[in-house]
Amino acid sequence: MDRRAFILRGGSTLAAAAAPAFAPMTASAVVNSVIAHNVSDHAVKHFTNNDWQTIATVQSHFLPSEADAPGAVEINALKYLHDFLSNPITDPVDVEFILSGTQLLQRFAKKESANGQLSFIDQSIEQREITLRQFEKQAGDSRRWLVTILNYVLEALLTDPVYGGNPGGVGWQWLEHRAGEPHPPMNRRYWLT
Amino acid sequence: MSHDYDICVVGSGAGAGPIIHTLAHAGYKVLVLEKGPWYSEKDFFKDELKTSLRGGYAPDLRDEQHVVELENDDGSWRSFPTYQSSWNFWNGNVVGGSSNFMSGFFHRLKPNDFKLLSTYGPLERANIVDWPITYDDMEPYYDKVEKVVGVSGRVIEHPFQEPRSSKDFPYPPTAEHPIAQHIDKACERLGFHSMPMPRAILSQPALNRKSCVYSGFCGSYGCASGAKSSSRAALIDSAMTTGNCELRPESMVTHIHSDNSGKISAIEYIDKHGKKHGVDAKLYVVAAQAIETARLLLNSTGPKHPDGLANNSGQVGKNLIFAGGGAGSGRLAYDKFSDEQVSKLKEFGTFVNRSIQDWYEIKDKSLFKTDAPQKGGTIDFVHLHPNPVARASRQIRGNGGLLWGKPLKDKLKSHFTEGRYIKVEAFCDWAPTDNSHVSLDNTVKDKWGLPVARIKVDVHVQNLRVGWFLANKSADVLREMGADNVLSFASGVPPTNLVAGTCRFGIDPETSVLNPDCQAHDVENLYVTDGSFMPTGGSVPHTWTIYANSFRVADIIVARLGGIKDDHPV
Repeated sequence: MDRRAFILRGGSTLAAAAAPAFAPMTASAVVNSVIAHNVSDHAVKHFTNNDWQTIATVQSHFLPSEADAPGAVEINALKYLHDFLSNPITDPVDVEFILSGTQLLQRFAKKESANGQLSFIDQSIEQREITLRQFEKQAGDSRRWLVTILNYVLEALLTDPVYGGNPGGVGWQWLEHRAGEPHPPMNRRYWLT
Repeated sequence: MSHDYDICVVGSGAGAGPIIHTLAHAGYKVLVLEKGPWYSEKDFFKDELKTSLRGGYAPDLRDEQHVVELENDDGSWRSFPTYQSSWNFWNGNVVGGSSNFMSGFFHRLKPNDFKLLSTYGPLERANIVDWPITYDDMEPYYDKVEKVVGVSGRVIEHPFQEPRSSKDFPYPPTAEHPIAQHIDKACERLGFHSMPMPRAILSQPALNRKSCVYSGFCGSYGCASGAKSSSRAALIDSAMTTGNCELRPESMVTHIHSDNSGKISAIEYIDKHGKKHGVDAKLYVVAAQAIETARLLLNSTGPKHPDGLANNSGQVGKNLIFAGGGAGSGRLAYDKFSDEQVSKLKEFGTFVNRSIQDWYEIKDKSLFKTDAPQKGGTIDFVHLHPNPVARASRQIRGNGGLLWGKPLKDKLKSHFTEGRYIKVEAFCDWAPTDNSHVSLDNTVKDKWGLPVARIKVDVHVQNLRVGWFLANKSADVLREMGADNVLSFASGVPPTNLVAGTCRFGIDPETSVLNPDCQAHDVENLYVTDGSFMPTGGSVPHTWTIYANSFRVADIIVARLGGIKDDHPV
């Protein structure tokens, strides 16, 4: 499937901060495409569908899809993060940090919403922007969690496709980045050697 | 008394390779104990995730870490384990050590670097000393490194050109990026002397190795062609062909045993399966990089060494130094140049290869409050490192908070596609002080149950003064080139890959660990040949000097053992 066809496959609108909406897939569709095939991953067994949807929504808010530039969906950001967290050598502390930050955001978003009931994934793009900006300013680990999620999005955008993000080098092409050679083969990914 | 080996070497990096190569080629039986795995060219890929983001060539900090101690603004000190921080002092635990991952910016020290105290006088609060040897003693070995390890470059007339026994480098310079011409022209207009930067990279096939293939990803990366002059590619591979060298990778040396006379009696190590072994040799060389060498010696107590091997002076671990300096960067925006120039600026893979050493000695009363000349440093111009994730991650900080969404995408697009970035690395001496040292931490242990190194880092104000001076000069060049977004600054943050000191050599056993031959004053069969021996570091990266000194000590050891044994010329 080429990138454009992939983008057009989605139906609803999911865009981000001050960006023109260009909607590829809903967060739930993204989650279904990634998580449904990985139900047995022990390291992330405590992540619920809602947790994954929250993360996918944040990722797309951070890197929205555009007609001429890939977004979180096109770079497989959720799959990349899922595979990293499921990786046998990933520090469980990192996994727990992602999960606890996700749940913190969920609680924060509800609490801050007008009626105290609206979850983050059900908020409008404008509401999410307000929520995330307020979340950024909270004491504790909120900002560090946002930075971490943002950095994993950038990893999915620009690391070698062998790691599951940046399919076909779509991120490299967008930023006119010339990757070095030789590329890492599948059997030499960092946790295997 | 028979021994398992003539010489046992702990470590395999730049301080070990010349010993291994020289002794093996001289016909002596060499055993190398290397903590890390043994990779070759076919194992190295341009994989940012493994190389730079996940520390794939360094220990897991959960298993092995350090404790860092830093000074607060109020003069008090704080400490923290590196696992709980972004600090990492490991630099490539593999056969060949961190030389596999160096950029290979190679500069010799200059004659005055060997006599800093007598040339520039004492520096308050700093333990500046003269070296017990001179530049003339080291010069033949700098020359040997050029030829045997492989250094490419071109000698030009220059105010601070050090004396050379060979007229020029044995290998021509590596291919240069067109940006070098912009630097040359800017320097010419400013009256500065830009010079080709020597590189420890082969520019043509030689020494049974291939030429550089100009992948564009050099520093931080293992070399897939073999052109980079790592200890492994340049020296150990050759040593292995003699049949005299045995290398045991994934062998963690845990203790150096010594007897009642104070001499080393055996080395104890643990293999990758957790099995403990012991070996003995006539002579021992420790070259595990300055921090880990000090730690190993301090952990190796014995009947005559209650405070650690070779530490009866209390000097092991003292006078830790790094490479001081500053940094800068600027962007050549494509919209300021012609299409032809832009096309050239976009060229990828070749090296900048330009340095300035006009201020290796500085006279500036306004900055230093004295008319006396001060020791200055070196400016190296390099490409901004091409690692894309690292570049992108630096774009997420905005003025009002984190950048994300469309504003982040716009910034990323602009950063990656609208100009060519050039970076400056400025090197000056890191003044050794009583507050910069390595000791054993009282509480944190590694996975083998050994106390980890506690690294206390002291930044002398002179480092910052010289760093600022050099950074400002480099910014002048960048602006003259037409760069925008010019940034320059001195840095008090120690570069964790450029470490030296901790076992300084000297004549007086009370103030030094090693004698001028790099033999421990109080352990007759121990030599230390990594950067630990350096009392001061020079105003350049240390690696060429570490290689050269190790060749020098190798000749001393060969002579001690009776000279070259067979028909293998060194």
